[in-house]
Amino acid sequence: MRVLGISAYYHDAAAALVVDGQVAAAAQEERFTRKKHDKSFPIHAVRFCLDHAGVRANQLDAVVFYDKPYLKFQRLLQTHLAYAPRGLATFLDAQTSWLSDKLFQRRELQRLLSKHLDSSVQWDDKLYFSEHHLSHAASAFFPSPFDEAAILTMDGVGEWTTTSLAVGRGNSIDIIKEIHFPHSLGLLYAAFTAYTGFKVNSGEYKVMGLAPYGIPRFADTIRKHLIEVADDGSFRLDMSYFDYCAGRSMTNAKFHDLFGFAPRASESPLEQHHMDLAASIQAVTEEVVLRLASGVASSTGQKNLCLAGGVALNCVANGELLRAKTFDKLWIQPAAGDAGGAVGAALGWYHLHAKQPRTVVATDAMHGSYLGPEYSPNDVQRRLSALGAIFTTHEVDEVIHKTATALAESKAVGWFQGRMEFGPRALGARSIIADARSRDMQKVLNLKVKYRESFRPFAPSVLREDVSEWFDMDADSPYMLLVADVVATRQIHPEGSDRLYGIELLNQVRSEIPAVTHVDYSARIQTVHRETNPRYHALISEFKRLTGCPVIVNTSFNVRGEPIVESPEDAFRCFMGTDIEVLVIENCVLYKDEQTVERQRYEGAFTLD
Amino acid sequence: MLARILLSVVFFLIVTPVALVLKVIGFDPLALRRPKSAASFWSERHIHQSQPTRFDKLS
Repeated sequence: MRVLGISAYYHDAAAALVVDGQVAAAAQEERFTRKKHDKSFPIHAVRFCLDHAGVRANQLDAVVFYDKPYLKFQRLLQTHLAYAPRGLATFLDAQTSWLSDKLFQRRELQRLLSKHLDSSVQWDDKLYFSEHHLSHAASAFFPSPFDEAAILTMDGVGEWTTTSLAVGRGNSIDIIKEIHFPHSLGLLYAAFTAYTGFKVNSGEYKVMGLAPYGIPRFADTIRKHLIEVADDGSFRLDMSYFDYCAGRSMTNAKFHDLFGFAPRASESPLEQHHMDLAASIQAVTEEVVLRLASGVASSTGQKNLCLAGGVALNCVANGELLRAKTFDKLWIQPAAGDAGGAVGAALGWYHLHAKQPRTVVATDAMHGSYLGPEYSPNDVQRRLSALGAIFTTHEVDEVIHKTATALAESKAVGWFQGRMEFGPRALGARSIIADARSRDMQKVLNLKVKYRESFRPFAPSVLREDVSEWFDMDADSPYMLLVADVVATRQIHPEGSDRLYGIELLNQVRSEIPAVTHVDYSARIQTVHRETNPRYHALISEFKRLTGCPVIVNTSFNVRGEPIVESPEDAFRCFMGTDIEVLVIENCVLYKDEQTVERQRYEGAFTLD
Repeated sequence: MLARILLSVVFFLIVTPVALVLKVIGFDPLALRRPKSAASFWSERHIHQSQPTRFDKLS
């Protein structure tokens, strides 16, 4: 059976193709259109999925959309009924957009499938609609390594649901309970994201990264006024502080008065209270996630937990959850955000609707999340030649040795190998990598390579077999979704550091691997496994042979505001536009100082995220 | 523009009066007026569900 899953029209449009229960291909639309968080109908991603698997459109058994637009419309209407006579402006915005296209999504999807894929197919017979949180739950459970598990999904909002608890057994999922809009952990975090001057739906990472610079001095205020948490972790918000139901902003004047600050304007200087607000909302989020998880454990009796939904990308909270040992094992869908809904919709239809059996894969069934396009060495050479790139080609061993040597010389390397990652993280297929031991690397990468804010931390890739020697964790974290501290024996406590506060903490060496050690000694870890990415594993092994260190910096191959590179052309452009010194694409090696094509100005080429 | 004018009329002549009537009879779809404390804020499944199956042909 061949099932196409589609996620679109809200943020992060994506497509995924499931063939006989296996995720054969998946990709986000933004990678092809080069528009970050592109939400339009993911036709490029759909075409890629079909081409990659050699499936023709008329061979599809079903096309499954990840949520139910009509229920969303119903939620909007009821929200307006709850708030009228307030909310005219948002009512007009929402109704004009819904009446013009969103309400007739079924017809629109059929039209697009006919137009772009195959007009002879009766799409009407093949088009199905899942539910937002069912798609998340399916994406969290079906690819997981568990035969039976509790499933917790948390995000901003789907149709009505913001949080759901389900139990997965074999090929079935039973949703047990839900928390509904507007009571949402994702939207609460988003409110603080907006309040601290970042973009909702993409700046949440920055808030999480900013949190360790602050102290959670507002956490009690949040607990007392904004969110009420029951013993089982379920919660509700006091909506009198928020504006997102009937207004155009996330927060209102009452919220701003509560904390005593005006919202930070985008790109204006970060002050200490912004860091303290970030620390506070992060602390409360961790607390709620932990309590939800305990409630889930006691009410289901399950030993394993699967997570998905945007809040599951909060890897600091995930790390706390792992350490709390509420569950024996934890598995988090790498594309936990809405893009992953495409995988969940397709797998959900296959197992729940078509009732097909499920085979549990011991590692997991996401193939390391390497589910995107790949380019053969010959193709890469042809494309690079056409761009006027100067490169040499080598055998695999030599490519690995040259790359490891460049890393050991403190060079920033663009690393492009195999199939592109599905989900928000670069995992060693489209990555910029560097020496984690270098004391200036964090600053250099932020300012000269990624053109992004100097406070933002970088994540390590570490060989799975060595993780516990370097970090306070001994678990798989192949998708960079768990945070743990650098082990105490490798930490360095700079003189007088305990008297420093906020941004003063930056640029101090705090461990043997300062480039990936955050100010609170934590790191967002990717464990690298020989089974899923042998070439990346070999590279880090070679780096370890040269330097004794099995840890490197891994950041996504892009600049601020740009989607991660998809093709060799994207990679070459980014290489030429930044201070990346070496570019390695499949078996081709390029050095910046040997290039003859004119350097392009790249900074400012993309809308800031 | 015409659509926005018509929708504004709808908002004030239909949505608002209906909302006020619903408010009087205790309609609270967003759980804005729940009692101050509760043992749990979870809802059992299928409260807002109008469709019988999950993977239906209705959008």
